[in-house]
Amino acid sequence: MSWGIAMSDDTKAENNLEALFAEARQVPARPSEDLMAAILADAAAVQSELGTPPVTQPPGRFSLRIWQQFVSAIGGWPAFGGLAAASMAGLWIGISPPAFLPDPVEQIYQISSSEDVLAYNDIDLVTWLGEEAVE
Amino acid sequence: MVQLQATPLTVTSRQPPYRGMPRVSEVAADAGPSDDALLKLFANGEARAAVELTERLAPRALAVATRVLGNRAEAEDVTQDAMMRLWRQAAEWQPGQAKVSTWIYRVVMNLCIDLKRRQRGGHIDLDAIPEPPDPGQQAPEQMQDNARHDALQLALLQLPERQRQAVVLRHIEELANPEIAGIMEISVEAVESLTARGKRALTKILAGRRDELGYSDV
Repeated sequence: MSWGIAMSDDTKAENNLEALFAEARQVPARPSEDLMAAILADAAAVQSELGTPPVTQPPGRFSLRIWQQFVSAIGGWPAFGGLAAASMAGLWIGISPPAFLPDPVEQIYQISSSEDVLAYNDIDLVTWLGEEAVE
Repeated sequence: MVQLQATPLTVTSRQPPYRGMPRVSEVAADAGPSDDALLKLFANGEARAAVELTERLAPRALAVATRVLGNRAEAEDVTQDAMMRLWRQAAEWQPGQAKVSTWIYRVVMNLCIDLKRRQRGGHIDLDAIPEPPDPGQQAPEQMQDNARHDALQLALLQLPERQRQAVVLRHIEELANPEIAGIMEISVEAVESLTARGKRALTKILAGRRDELGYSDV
């Protein structure tokens, strides 16, 4: 088990093998420009796939996609939760307002039944437009 | 996959980037981002990350594949295939789970094994036999260097596949045993056993060529 000499020269044989390894390490395998170009072309193709949405979508997925875009646009599900809570609070305040806020239903009823509203029925629109034209 | 023409191994310095694209390390102030970070940049559409990763990983993949397969053209195909798998893995890559270089070595080794299995079931590739250098064109020292290089390569190709992989990773790529264990998916003890047996076998194979390789005076 040596370079064809005595077994006592095992160390020399091992050193010779190490020298061969060292020489092999000095010979790097540099890829050709063609190979590098081919690898980079593959990379570009994969990158374009990663950045492109699917061309065709199965029926029924469109509305889901719109919904996902809406949720994403408002900041994701946490923001959507906040939006839902604010909507519920607004609805509740509208139905049962606190004491310091005027009742919107009562205000609408008062306006629609007041003389101020009825007085507008007497305005002659043609006359009013005519005055605007003179000015 | 692109079929690339076989070219001999050459000793050259690192060359400028390819197709005029700047390297990420030229933009960054420090030594450059990690492989993990580059892979994330790649997944986010950064083209320069692909250039930098290719420059870092492709030469190492090609070197190992060339040593294991003994055929430059096949090694180039394996390298391109391994890099393609890396690009496809980029979007799902989990940083910190594995080193990118370890992952690419593992893919290269597996592709080499697959290729050899397919070849055993089919024809023998004549390109796999290294061509002898032309003596008329070379100085005696160069001839002896080439003889040593070819002798080592021929001896490596006579080793069993797993021994060859372990020896190449340990003694030519100079990887640590734990990393080789990760690449080959075996224990560190198994790596030590494979490399030890591989070295003994190489010594035996090369024994008869001591004078021819210029070691008669050692």
